[in-house]
Amino acid sequence: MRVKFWGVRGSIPTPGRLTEKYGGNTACVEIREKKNRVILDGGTGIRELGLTLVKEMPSETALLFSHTHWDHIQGLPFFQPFFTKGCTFRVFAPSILKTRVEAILTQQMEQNVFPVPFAALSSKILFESLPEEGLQYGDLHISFFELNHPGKAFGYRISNGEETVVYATDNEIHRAKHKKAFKRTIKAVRGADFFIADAQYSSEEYLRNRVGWGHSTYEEAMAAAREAGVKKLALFHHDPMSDDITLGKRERSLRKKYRDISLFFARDGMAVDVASH
Amino acid sequence: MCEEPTDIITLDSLEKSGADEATSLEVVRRCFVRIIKGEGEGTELKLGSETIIAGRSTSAGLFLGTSSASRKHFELVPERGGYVLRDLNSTNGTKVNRTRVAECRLSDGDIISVGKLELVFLEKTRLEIGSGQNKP
Ligand SMILES: [Zn+2]
Ligand SMILES: [Zn+2]
Repeated sequence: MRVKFWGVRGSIPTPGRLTEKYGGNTACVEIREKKNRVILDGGTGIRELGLTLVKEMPSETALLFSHTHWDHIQGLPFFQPFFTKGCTFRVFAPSILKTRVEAILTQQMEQNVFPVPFAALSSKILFESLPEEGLQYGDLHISFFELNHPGKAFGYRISNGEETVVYATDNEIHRAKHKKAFKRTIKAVRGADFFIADAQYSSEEYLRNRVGWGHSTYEEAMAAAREAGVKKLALFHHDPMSDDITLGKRERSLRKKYRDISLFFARDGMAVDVASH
Repeated sequence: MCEEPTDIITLDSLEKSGADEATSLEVVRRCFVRIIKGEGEGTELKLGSETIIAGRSTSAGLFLGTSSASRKHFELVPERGGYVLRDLNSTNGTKVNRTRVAECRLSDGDIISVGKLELVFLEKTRLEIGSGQNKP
């Protein structure tokens, strides 16, 4: 399985020189396994993904959303494949989220905020419920679990039978302050090869005034990954206030501290093969 | 895109050249890779508008002198004003800042490693005098 990061920033896009290394696009990750393609979240990173996708026509893609906060849907009105005949999307979502995603996509393209209505899109977009036990999508098995985030968000576990990727962003876990969520996350991530985890803050930033905001720290993501026996960890959903220099320093120091796990800060435009070490 | 360099422009030289409003200043990026550890240390390659293949093959645009390298190991592709590194299914993999990647958009100071061989990607930005053609 190949995982490609198209948007790694949390909350709001951060264009400009100070953030060009790690990237300024909001959440969007693509997973490919042979002919199967899954897109996780529709932040601003999805615009660029769209430009490559329209070159591979006709196409079918599964779309999964963690939740419908701005930074996870913002790129969709500029996602070219939505406007392209021959592109099919199957949006799989836990039933509570399915209704919300359907509504929000329409609202996001209402006349007052966007010139083209959702109903006029030329691609085929199908909304399907993702059952509790998960479902098989081509060569991939997709299941979900609940995250700890204001208004509720969901994480996804995607497996090709040999390798497993877990995507869990917008998730506040903490061994002391959010024990239950921490345990639930470990359970869902257990044994995964690759864990893409919300790690918006440093411990210091978090404890200063960000408890309850719905995001985690590098250290807690790391602790969860270690307890769950994960091989590779991508720290994701970077805080808009963290520039390249800050992230670079933090990445280097975390690596020194935690040598037993392969960890990195996700970057826009970076692709990683899950099986490689 | 990384362009051919011209002479460095200073405000002094601009005044001497009698530059007026018709002259435009352009930010030009020049990109390089330099071997910083291993065989060929100090070798620098300027990147242009062509894709460069790096590997152990003697015909590679960028020779990687290590037994860890595959004949065609990775490529550097000019894309939208910068360069993207793509691993060419190499046996031992390519790392960018110590993370093994299949693909990565490069940015100034990134360390590329193949086995024990290390390279740095460098980006130099400077102001250059343009033709003023963009002016109305
Ligand atoms: Zn978010
Ligand atoms: Zn959120």
